[in-house]
Order: sequence, then structure tokens, then C-alpha cells
Amino acid sequence: MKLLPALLLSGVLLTACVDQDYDLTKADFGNASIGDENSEFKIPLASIHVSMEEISQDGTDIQALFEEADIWLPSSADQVDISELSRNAEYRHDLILETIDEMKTDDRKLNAIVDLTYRSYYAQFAEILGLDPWGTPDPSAYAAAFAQAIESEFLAGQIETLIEQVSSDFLASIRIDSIEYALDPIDLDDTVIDMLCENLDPEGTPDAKNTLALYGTISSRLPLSMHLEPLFMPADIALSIDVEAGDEPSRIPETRLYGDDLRSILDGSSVRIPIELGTYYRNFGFDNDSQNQLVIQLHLVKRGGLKLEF
Amino acid sequence: MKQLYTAILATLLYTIGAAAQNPTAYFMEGSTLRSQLNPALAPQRGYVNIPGLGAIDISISGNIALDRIFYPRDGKLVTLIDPAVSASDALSGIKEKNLLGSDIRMNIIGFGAYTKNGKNFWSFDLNLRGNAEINVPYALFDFIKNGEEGSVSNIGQQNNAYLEAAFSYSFPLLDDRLYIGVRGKFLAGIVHSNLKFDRFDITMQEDRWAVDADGTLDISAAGLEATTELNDEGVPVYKFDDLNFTPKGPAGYGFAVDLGATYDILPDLQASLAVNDLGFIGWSRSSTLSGRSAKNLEFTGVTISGGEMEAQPDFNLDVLEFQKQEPQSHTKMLHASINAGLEYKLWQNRASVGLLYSARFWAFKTLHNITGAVNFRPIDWFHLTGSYSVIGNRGGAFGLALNLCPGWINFFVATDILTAKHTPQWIPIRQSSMNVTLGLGVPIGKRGNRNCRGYLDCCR
Repeated sequence: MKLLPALLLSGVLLTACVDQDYDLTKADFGNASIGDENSEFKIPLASIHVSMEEISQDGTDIQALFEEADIWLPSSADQVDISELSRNAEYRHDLILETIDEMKTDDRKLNAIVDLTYRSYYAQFAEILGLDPWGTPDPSAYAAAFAQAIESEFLAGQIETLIEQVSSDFLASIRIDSIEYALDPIDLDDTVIDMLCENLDPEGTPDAKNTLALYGTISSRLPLSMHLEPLFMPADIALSIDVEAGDEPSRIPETRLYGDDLRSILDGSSVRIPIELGTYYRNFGFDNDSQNQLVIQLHLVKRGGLKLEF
Repeated sequence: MKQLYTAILATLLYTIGAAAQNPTAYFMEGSTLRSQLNPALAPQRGYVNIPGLGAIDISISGNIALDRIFYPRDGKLVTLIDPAVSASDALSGIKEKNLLGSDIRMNIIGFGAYTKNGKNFWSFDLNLRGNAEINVPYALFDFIKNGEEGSVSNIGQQNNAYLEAAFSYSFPLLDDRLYIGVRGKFLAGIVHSNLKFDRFDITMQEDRWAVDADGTLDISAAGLEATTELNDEGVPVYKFDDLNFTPKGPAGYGFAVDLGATYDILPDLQASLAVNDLGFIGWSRSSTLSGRSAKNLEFTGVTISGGEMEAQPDFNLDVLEFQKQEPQSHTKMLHASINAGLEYKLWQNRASVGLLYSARFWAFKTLHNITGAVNFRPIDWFHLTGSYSVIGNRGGAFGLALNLCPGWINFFVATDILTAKHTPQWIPIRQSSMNVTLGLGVPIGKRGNRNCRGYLDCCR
């Protein structure tokens, strides 16, 4: 009986053991995260709203530009390739000839051209029409002279040549100035920035799991397809965006970012947005009701866990 | 937000590092601590405790074990929120409410003696007591591990420290078959803190990140001051770092009772029941600092319109930033406990087997424990107890208790960490409870005459 406690004590102590794998002095607290390498987090970054006035050429907004283009282009051309207009003289010439033919048979086109040339090109046309280039004649007198001239065997050719010259110069020069914004710092909590930036795989890591990218969508109210290449400075982050005309937003493909890139954007940066015009869909028309013609929604996507610092 | 995680992890570790109710000691006849578990129980002799060493009882109880918090991975020991621990591994050990509570009781002054009849026993104790408790809901870990937005509620942490001056008296009834014990306790509160987040909702959507959190921090401690700073909205706030504590005295007072009884169903079969720590501490208004953290923030990205960036609120996730509130005096109940035991004596009390059911009413959850014990008293001054406690649904803990009580000294030690797989720091790895009890005292007076039913070692 007296041996029993000793046996019991020995037995239970034999079952005890120290597991060095659980040495708390070697516990690593430094690598905590929300989610794991299979996680994906998306966060909104910025919404850039661009108005009609900001999309302009030398101060003339895009709608005004295309109101004139519509006059120089034949009504039958539903779609016009704007980039082709500037680099392909033959394409431009064919369209203008159609416009001139239309002018001869359609009073609306004629009246539009008369009105446009009176407002914008008076001095050039006045000379051929026998009017004082420096005077300010009555519009109806100008219209009458114009109508008489195109009926005239002697003057019609000169008028058509001048129309082709003026319209060609205009159509070939249609472009949109780059839009530039200086961005203030974005007040995103340091905790969130660290979560996004601090466990990214270095550039060149094969099959990287922890990545950060900029992506988004762009919605356009304009009747044109476009190509935009926003450039964020000083991070030197360039995006390449094809924008389709119509109601459906166009996708901005992902552009890989690194920690310093994001911190640079968030600390305050500038963005320059060159716009290259594509096809003009004339039937779509401009939407004057919408204050913002372009809305660029930028998001970040973080793949892999969000770093937690202790 | 990361500071909240830090606070939670720190408290988890704190409660692991510390842990006062050792079930193994319940049936150890010589232990003077035994009467703390049931005031109807008494040691074999009167005693005077060695100041500070008379009885130290440290216990942890909860429903989450160390191996559910730390995981060995690739030669390192990492926490469950480390990406090296898969969500399925980490969440498999997590319950809806994950509670860890620790108790510490240190006897500063303690003495007791039998009255002349050798049956009535009285004692006086001055104890320092403390407890800490944390509740972390499953939803928080789910959010962290799966990275999906979450709605988290009832994150809580509570700490108490107080001095307890107790007078206990037990006496027989029904021809010694029934013993009744009562302990009255005067309490002087030192510190009470309660951090609680009723709501902690996190939204992480493509077009909107948001935090909606509502938490309170109440701390009662005389000499506590908080230095406030203006936050980004110009509101004076304080953080944990801004708290300064220079102890000045009690921050509150209270009373409590322990009630206990033992009943001999048969000469060798005894049932016992105790309800302990039925009481409260009223914490004074002047010593209380109340704070509230209400955050309702969202980030939808910045808007740049016409080349100008529109005003944007600061998306500051620091939820452990509190605004001072008008403090209120408040009364807090102690964490009461119930002990129900059954002991059968064998071989003229040379041995016994016992069964103990314990329940502890923590702030966030009630924890239950069933312990089976085998007690050996082969010689008069040497007692040994082995126990096995069932804890939750993950097996249990083997406990050992040793009591050496020759005529000039009374030493007892009991623990359930000797037999467990444990860390080099002696923290059990798989069991979610840990108990360490030890005490040193000097016996005084003759042995009591309780339960002497003709056993050889009694009534000397």
C-alpha cells in the first residue's frame, strides 16, 4: 500500500514531457496577416471626374470641336475614324468631297456651312464672295452671296477649293490636349497603407503570391472611342486604357505596383492623361445632361494576406 | 486596428502566463487552502501561515489551449494569425466564444484554530486576489484568417485586483454529520478594468472599406489619470499609453460570503457543497475613468472633380482611442463559483476517492470542470493526491498534490502541469487549464476531532 503512491508518482511523471517546439521565448509574432496567400482584397482608391470643358483643344471643348466637325463631315458618315482623319489625306479628302456634294443638294448642309464660314472663316471667304474681308456684313447678305457664288460657274470651284482647304485643316488637326491634375495627399491610415505595402513579393519573384495592382474602370459619356495613357508622377506609373463609346464602362487592366509606388501616389502626386481619339460615333450624340463626361474609377487589388504589425 | 489585436494577444499571453481554484487540493486534508474552496472544510490542525507564502494559488481556466494559439511551423513557433497557419487549421480549434480566465490568490496573513471542542474551526485570512479574463469571439478569428468582412461583437477583457480580509467559521450539526461553514469577507478594491467592444464590424468591399466599432473602457483605480491629446477631429482622446497609475489606496469596497456544507451520507461517504465569492465591490466614481471609442468610418476613395480633390475624412483605424466619458460609481459582482464534492474513504481513511464538480461564473461564460481524485494518506504526515480533470471536450489534466504535515510545519503543493506536455516555460500545451498551488505554514494546537470515527490517525 505504501508503495502505491510512489508508483503513481513515478508513473505520472513519466508521462510529462517538455516540447521544445513550443518554446515561448522563440515565438515569432512578426508575421501576422489578415487572410493568406490565396486571399484577395480590393480597395477603392480614387474617382476622377472629367467634365466636358476639361476635354478640350486649345480651350475649345470637345463638343464644340465636334459640332464643327459634324458640319465638315458628310451626314452619311455614321462612324469617322478621327486618327485616320489626321494622318490619311485621302480619307479626309473623300469625306470632304462627299460633304461638298451634299452641300449642293441639301440646304441644311449648305446653311450649316454658310453659318460656320460666316462665324469662323469670314475673312477667307469674303474675298471670294466679293465682300469686305474687314467688314461685318449682315448674315443674310453673306448667305445670299454664298448661294450665288456656288451657283456661279466662275466662283463655285474657288468656293469648293476653299471649303476643302479649311475643312481639311480643321479635321486633320482635331486632337485633345492632355489633362493634368495635381493630387493632394490621400488621408488613408498608415495601418492600412502598411497592410497593403509591407509584405509584397519583390520585383522579379517568380509566381509571386503577394502582389499589389492598380486597376479600375472608365465610363464615358462621349460618342467617341479613345485611348488614354494616364501617367502618375513621380511614381512613373503608366496605365493604358482603351475606352469604348457607349454606356458600358471600359475596364482598366491591372498595373503592378510596389510599396513605394503606392506610397508615392498616396503622398501626393500629379497625373497627366494624354487622350488619343479613336472612332467618332456620330449617331450617339453628345450628352449635355451629364456633368462628367469621363469617370475614371481606380481601385487597388492586394493579393496575399494583409500585413498586421505588432 | 492592429493595436486591438495586440491587446488581445497580449491578454491571451498574460492569462496563460498567470492562472485560484485547484481542484486537486480539494480533497487534501492537511492543506490550509482547502477551507478556501469550501468553508465547511478545515485542515487537520490549527495553523499560522508564513506571511506571503502561506498559500499561493494560481490557476488558469478557459476553453482554449496553448496549442490552439501557437503553432510550430518550419522550425518556428508562430501564432494562429500567422499566414503559415492555414485558416482551416487555425479555425478548427476555435469556439464561438473563446475564453481564458486567470486567477491568483496570495495569502498575506493567515491563521486559524479549532475551538476547545476540536470541531468548530475559525480562521482569519488576508489575501491578495486578482483575476483576468478575456473573451474573443470566433468571428474575429474568422475575419483575420479568411480575410472576409466580419461582424464581430462581444470582444471583452476584464481585470480585477483586490484585498480580501476574511473571517471563517465552521461548526457541526446533526450529531457531527453535517458541518456548516461561513466565511465573511471585507473587500478593498485595487483595480478593476473592463474593455468591451459591443460592435466591431468591418467591411472590405471593392468600392467601400468601413469600420463600425463601439467600445468602452472603464478603469477604476485610485491614482489613475489619463493624459488626453487632440485627435484629427480635434476631440480630446487618450490611449493606453496615456494612462498613468500611481497607487493611492482602495478604489472601492465590498463584501462577500462563502457558504459551505459537508454531510456524511454514510460513515465513509461525504458530500460537500460550497458557493464561494457571493458578493460585490462598489467602485467609487472619483477613482473611475470611463472612455468610449465609437468609430464609424468609411473610405470610398478620393474624388477628384474639376482637378480638385474633394474633402475626405481621415480613415483612421485606431479603435483603441477613447474619449473621456462622465465617470459613474459602479458595483461589480465577483466571479462566484460552485464546488460540489463527493468523497469515499477507504482503508480507515488511508485512502479515498473523490469526485468534484466545479463551476466558475466568469463575466463572459461559465466554465465547468469535473475532477476525479485518488487520495493517499499512508502515513500520518504524508498525503498524496492524484486527480484527473475533464476539461471541455479535449481530454483533461492529471493533477498531483503533496502535503507534508509533520508536527512543526505544514507544506503543500499541488499542480496539474507536471504530467502534461508543456512548454519549456511549464505552460501546458494541450490542456486549457493550469493550476499551481503551494503553501507553507506552522501547525498550532491539537488536531481537530472531525471525522474521527475511530481511525487510527485521528484525535491525537
